[in-house]
This record gives sequence, structure tokens and C-alpha cells, in this order.
Amino acid sequence: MSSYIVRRLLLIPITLFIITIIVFIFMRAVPGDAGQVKCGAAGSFDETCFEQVRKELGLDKSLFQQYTLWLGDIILRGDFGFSPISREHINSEIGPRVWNTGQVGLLSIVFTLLIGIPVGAISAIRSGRPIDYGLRFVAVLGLSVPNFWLATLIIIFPAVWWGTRVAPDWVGWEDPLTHLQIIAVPAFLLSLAGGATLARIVRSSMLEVLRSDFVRTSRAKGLREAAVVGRHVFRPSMIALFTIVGLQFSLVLGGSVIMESIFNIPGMGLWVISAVAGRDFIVIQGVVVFFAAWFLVITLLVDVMYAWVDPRIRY
Amino acid sequence: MAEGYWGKYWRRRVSRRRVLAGGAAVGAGAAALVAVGCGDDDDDDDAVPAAATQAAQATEAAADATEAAAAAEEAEATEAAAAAEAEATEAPSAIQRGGTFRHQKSSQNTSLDPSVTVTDPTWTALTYNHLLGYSLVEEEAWGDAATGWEQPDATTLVFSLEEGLKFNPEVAGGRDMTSEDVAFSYGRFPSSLAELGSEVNQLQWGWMGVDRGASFDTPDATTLAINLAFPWASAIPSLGSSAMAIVAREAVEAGGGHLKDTPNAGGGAYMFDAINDTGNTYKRNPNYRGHSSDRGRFTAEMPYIDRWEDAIVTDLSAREARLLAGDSDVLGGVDKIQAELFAGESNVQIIEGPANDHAIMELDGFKWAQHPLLREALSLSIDWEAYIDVVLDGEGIRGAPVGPAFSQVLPQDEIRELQQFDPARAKELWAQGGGDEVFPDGFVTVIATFGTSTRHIEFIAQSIEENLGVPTRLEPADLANYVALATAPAGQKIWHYFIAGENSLSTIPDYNALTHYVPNGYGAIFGGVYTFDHPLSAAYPEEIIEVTNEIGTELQGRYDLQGATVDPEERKQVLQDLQRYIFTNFCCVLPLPVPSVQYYAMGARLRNVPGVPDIANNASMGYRRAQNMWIEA
Repeated sequence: MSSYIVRRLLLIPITLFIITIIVFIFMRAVPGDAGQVKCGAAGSFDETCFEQVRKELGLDKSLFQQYTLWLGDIILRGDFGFSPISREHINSEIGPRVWNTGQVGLLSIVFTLLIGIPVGAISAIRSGRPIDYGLRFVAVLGLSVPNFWLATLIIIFPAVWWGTRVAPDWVGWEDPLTHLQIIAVPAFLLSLAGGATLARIVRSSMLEVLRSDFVRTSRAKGLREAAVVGRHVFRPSMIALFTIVGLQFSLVLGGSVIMESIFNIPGMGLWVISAVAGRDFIVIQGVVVFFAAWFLVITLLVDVMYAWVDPRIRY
Repeated sequence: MAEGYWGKYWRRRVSRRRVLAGGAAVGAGAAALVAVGCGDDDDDDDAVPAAATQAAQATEAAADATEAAAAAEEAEATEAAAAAEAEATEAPSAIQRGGTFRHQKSSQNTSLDPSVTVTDPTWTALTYNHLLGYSLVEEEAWGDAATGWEQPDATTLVFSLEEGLKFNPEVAGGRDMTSEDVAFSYGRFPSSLAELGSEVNQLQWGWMGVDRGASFDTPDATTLAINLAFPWASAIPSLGSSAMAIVAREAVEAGGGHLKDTPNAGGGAYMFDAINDTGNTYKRNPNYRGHSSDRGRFTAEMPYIDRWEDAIVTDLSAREARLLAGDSDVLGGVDKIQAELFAGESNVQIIEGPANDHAIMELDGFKWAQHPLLREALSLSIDWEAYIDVVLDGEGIRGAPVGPAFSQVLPQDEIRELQQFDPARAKELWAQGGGDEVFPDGFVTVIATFGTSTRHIEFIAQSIEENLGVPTRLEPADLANYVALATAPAGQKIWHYFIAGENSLSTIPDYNALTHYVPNGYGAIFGGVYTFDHPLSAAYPEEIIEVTNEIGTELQGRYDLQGATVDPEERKQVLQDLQRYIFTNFCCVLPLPVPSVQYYAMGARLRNVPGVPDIANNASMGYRRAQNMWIEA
């Protein structure tokens, strides 16, 4: 196990290195650059403006120079760079933004568990009954309805009907109730797909266990149904939970791009979407590398947890 | 024009309220289904009737609004604008001082230097003085830092500054603002472009000729003489631009030659209070003094509103929701359908009036220059009147190279005469010019993914296909790609025609519209019109330049002439002749019809809001500089 972890840990920097090359090349391959956005958006198509912005961003250097300078700063100084477009230093921005995105992500995982486990369990226990069909319908709905569409409706409908908004403007923890109100809605929406997936997995896992011999034996012993389900069925079915939670951590990153835009949360997602629109290469590269590192670490943790929870799994 | 496949959909457009109401019914139905599935029949019994009632009410309201709007005539819109401006003279007793204006925008400023960044004029309007502001509604300039001005000759402008103007306390020790500060501020533009990558269009300041021999005289602290390098008829309106902010030299020097990270370097009515990721706040500048007269929208005392908040809200739906919920005082320009939807909302007021838009269809000179018959055929193949009906919801007028708010624009009847729809003639010319051989693969145009509507592009593509039999491929592009495609070098443009519009800078006739048609404006940059002496012409084969050189030289000459013609009547004649020349040569920019009415969504609690088209213009007296606007408690 420990050799597996070491191997995986060694692979992380190699993977990240490859990712830096890919993101660097892809960003340069996309037509348009920051100079054109910055100057062109204001109606100035003067080549002097383009050139000056490119110079300020270092885009006038060769691709190799740009890449090595950027990577060198990250490796040698842990410096992700300064964006002359947003006038922000990536290192100082990344912390608060990760925290904001992380809060929504953590809460969405809580919601995922709160939705997925009871729905899946009830559905399995009441398999084939109307409530099972109803809950499965809800699960399919949660999987198939795009959360950005729901988010837009949640933003617009209360404003049109009642002249109010579900999620107020961003405030920090200095106003805890409002803060929770702000992050709860996007977290809930982000959890819908994960919750629905978890519910379906929990249901099928529990159904499999419910049909096994030891459960039949437990019932034959005269154990109460609650004890059978709680003690013998529920626990072995929970291995899937780790996969979903791990996946949810990753989904949070993708989902945050849309949710943070709609709910105006100053997190990583909002940052990256603004950067993409403005071709702010420095920010995009920094954020993508950070996302990639996040994803790699979470994947490793999930894999390790798997083996820890289920002793049958060997690496 | 024969109605094509998409035409029937365009003509049966479904309103957003209808979609929302439908969505509500579907949502309620889904909720009911879920409830039934869960065996919980008691909770949601009221959901469907409630949603259905709301849907019915919404549908009725939308129908009423449509009928009401259909009844409105263009003249009424003009009256509305006049009424809005008349309100500006409302009895002072109604004024309420105080409150916070809740502004919102989609992104943070990319810098705080007014000679570098112009994409959002809010901070420049609030925190800086300008010499003056120009009102399109009133067609006159109102002094801001200047109390008066005169033009002794065609190249000299002399300004008298207000006595006692000061910078805010955070800059230059809050010292007096002098004519030297104005001269310093205006003189920065060339170096800001060359050294700081200024996005301020050269057309906004190039008319002074600062880099071509213009000079500033400052005989005393309150007198400034601008000695232009060449005559410029629109000098006064041009000075209203938000970029013409008066900054303190000390702040620029302290910032290392720029103000990119320096807030509060001016003496405007407000100062930045806070700047962060979620927005900016502004408080009053304690050093600010009112104007010696309260002409126009400037006040003799402090502005009526105490504070401004400027929230950064990326998503358009979220911005709409904030306005509808009464959490913001401005959304911005909306189309006719949105205006109808918002009109009944308690937290919203719709300001409407005559628009001053300009839209063009640029032809890539590289592909079209040598084919005059095909250019004319293209123009004749577009059903301009149907464009107004379909794209502009019937509220449009024929566009011209001069904005419709200006007296120099050609009369509508003449434009109709000059720019006709004649599919039979179009086909004839197309065949004569060998169009199918010249363009065997049809056309390509670019469609912006960030725009709110693509109807105009789709309509033109359809019109050309139906009347010339030439298909158009629509190439989607985001903002960065859009600009890159528009300004791609000669011979590398993927598009055959490019449709673009503007309304944010529609103040100065020379700048606003005409610059798109001349080589030294946007003409050459977009690739339509070149002359031999234009630097970019080197990339073009001589045989192409030979064609555009004649037209381009003529256009540039007439453009320069109108700029140098200071007498208004003479200038009008020159401008009208220039427009006729553009319409009859089809090279290489075609004006498109434009809206006749502009709608602007603002918070209902605002009073004395500037009229359209002033309301949003960054170079005029829009709401950001309307010191006599107030908030009703």
C-alpha cells in the first residue's frame, strides 16, 4: 500500500508537468489574445495598443521563453505570476478564492449525502412500491435537469413573482446567516446530480446486499428489520459513498464555474470564467494547474480510502 | 421578401414572460408529478392552480403590453424623451437628497487610469472632473470644470475654469486644480498609448493633434488655450468623453508614470471608498464644490445622491433579478420585448426615447474591391424594410453613416432611394459580375457568442441566400476571437462580410459612425477601404489598392473636409454629400437599419433620470454624471 502511495505521489508532479504544457499550448492555440480583448473591447483596434498589452503580458517573447519563465517562477519561487489584465497577483488571490469555492463544495457534499443516502435507502427498502418509483423519478430528474437552468430559474422567478432574491449579494462570515443563505442555494444545486447518482448507487448496492444469504439469515434469527438494515445492509453498501464523494469534490470545480457566475460568488470558478473571456493566460494557467493538483490529490485520497474501507481491495 | 424557414419563427416570437409562465406551469406540473409519485397528495394541491393562474395573468399582461407597444408611434418616443428631459427642470421642492445609487456591471475595471481604460465609464464619471459634458438631447455642451469657452479661430479653443476647484484630499494634498492639470492630462494620451497600452481609441483624442504639433497655453491658473494641430468641428462634443478626465500630475508621478493602481487621482464629486472583488463603493469627495451655475445636469451644490455602490455581477440573469427585486438601480439597455416585460414591474422604470445607434455591414476589401457589380448586388439583395420589421420589431429606421440623432443625417426618404431592395436587379448584377465564380463556396460571417441577439446576422444571411442564392456560414466567436477575426491581416480574414453595431460612443458624428467608412478610421483596420498611403495597405496586392485607393482617397478627403468645416450649415452639406457618396459606391461598408427607439431599464425609485439617448453615453450627460438625479425615499 505504501509503495502504491509513493508511486502515485511521484506521478503527481509528472502529470502536473504534462498538464502545464497542455494548458500552455492550448491557451496559445485559441484565437485572440488579451491585447485584442482589452483594446478591441473598448473600440480601439490600434496595433500599438495590442503590442503594448502583449509586451506587458510577456506575450511578445517566444513561446518557449514564456513557458519556461512561467514554470520557473512556479517551481523555484512558488509564484504563479501577476496578471496585468486583472491587476491581481495570483498567489494572493488564490487563497480566498479557494476558500470561497471550497465552502460551496463542502456544503454541496453535505447536501449530496443528505439527499443520496436516505433517498437510496428508502428506495431500496421499499423497492417496487409507489414511494420507490417516486424517489427514482426524483433521482432521474436530479440527474437530467441541468443545474445551470435551475439556477437561472431560481434567480429569476422569485424576483419576478415576489420582488425578492433567494441568494443575496456576497458577504463573508461576518454575517453568518446571510453567508450561509448565499452558499446554500448553489451548494444544493451542485449536489442534485451527485445526490441523485448516490441515491441510485446506494439503492442498487443495498438491494444486492438485501438479497444476500447473511441478510436472510439475520432475518431468520428474528432480528428486527431496523437492525437488519442498519447493522448488516447499510454498512457494506456505503463503499460506493467514497466514490461519489470523491467525484463530487471534482464536480465542484467544474460546477463552480457556472454556479459562481450565476450566484456571483468570488471563487475560483468566477475567476477562471472571467479570465477565459479576457484571455488572461496567467490566471487561466494558474487556476487550471491548481484545479489539476486538487483533482489528482482527491483522486489519490479516494483510492486510498477505498482500500482502507474495504480490506478486499489491494493495490 | 419571401418568408423562409426561419421567418415564420421570427414572426412568431415567444415572449420571455410567456416562456417563464410556461416554465412555471411545467415546474408546477413536475412538482405535482413528484408529489403523486411520493404518495404525498396533500401538500401541493394549490401549486398547479396557482401556477396556472399566474401563467394566465402573465399571458394576458404580455398581450396587453404588446398591444400597447404596437400602438406607440415613433413620435411618442420622441415626446417621451422630451418629457424625460423636461422633468429635469422639475420643481426643486420635489428633490430628495441622500441615498445610495446601486450600480452593477459585469466585470471589474482593468485599470484605474482614465487615459488607459475606458470600458466602464462609471468611475471616471464619478471620481474625475472633465472640462465639460455634451448632451445629445439638448445638443449642447454644459461646463463642468469649465465655466465658459470660446473659439477665436478654427484651431484655437480657450476655456475658463471654475474658481476654487480642488483635487480630493487623497491626492496632491487636495490642492487647487489648475489649467496646467488639464493640459497635463490631455497631453498624456500619446505616451499612454505607446507605453501603457492604452485602450482609449485614438479617435477620441487624436483630433487635438497632441502628437502632431498641438499645444496648450496656460496663461493663468484658470485659463487654458488648446491650439489644435488642425481644425476640428467636433472639438467641443469630443471633450465630453470620459477619457478626458483631469488628473493630478503628482499622482501619475507617484504611480511610476501611470494611474493603473491609483484610485482617487481626481477631483470629481465622489471618491472611491472601497475596491474589491465584488465591487466598488464611492463616497462624497469633501473637497468637491458645486458649479457656479446649475446648468444642465450639474448642480450648484453637491450632487443629490450621497453614495454609489458598483456591484460586479457577471451573470445577466442575476443582474436582471437584482433590478427586479429592487436591489439595483440600473440594468442597462433592453430591447422592446424586455421593455414590455419590465414595464409592469414595481421596482423598474423604463426610460425610452429616440435611439442614436449605428450598425454596419463591412465587406472585406480583399475579396470584394475588384467586384463593384457584386457589391451592389449584395446591397440590393437585402430586404431593408423587412429587416426593420423582423429584426427591430417594427421599431426601426434606415441607418446612415451619421447617427440618427444628428441633424446632418440624410432624410429617411433619401436613404430609401439610395439603398434599395431589388432582388431581380441583384440577381442580374450578380450574374453579370460572375458572382458564382468569384464566390463559389458562398460567404462566411462571424456571429458573436457574447451578444444578446443574433437575429440581425441571421436575417441578412437568409436574405442574401433567398435573393442571390448564396449561402452564408455563420462562424461563432467569443469576444477575443471576434476581435481577432475582425482585425485579421489582409488576406487572412475568414469572413466575407462582418456585421457590427455600436451605441455606447454615439456622441460625435465624426467619431461615432463615419470613421467606419474611411481608411484612417476603422475602414482600413477592418479591411474594407485602403489607400496607397495607408500603412496597412502594404499587405494588399496593388490591383486591389488601385480600386479602393480612388474611393478611399475620396472618402478620406471628404471626411477630413467635414472635420475642418466649422460652419454648421456648410458642414451639414459636406456631411450629406459624403453620405450620398458612401451609399452609391457600396465600398466597402454598408449602413444597416437601426432602432428608432431605445429602452433603458432603471430602478423605479430614481427621479429626474436623464433621457435617451444621453442616458448611458460615456461621452455625454448620462446618468453617471447627472448630479441632479435623486432617489425617492
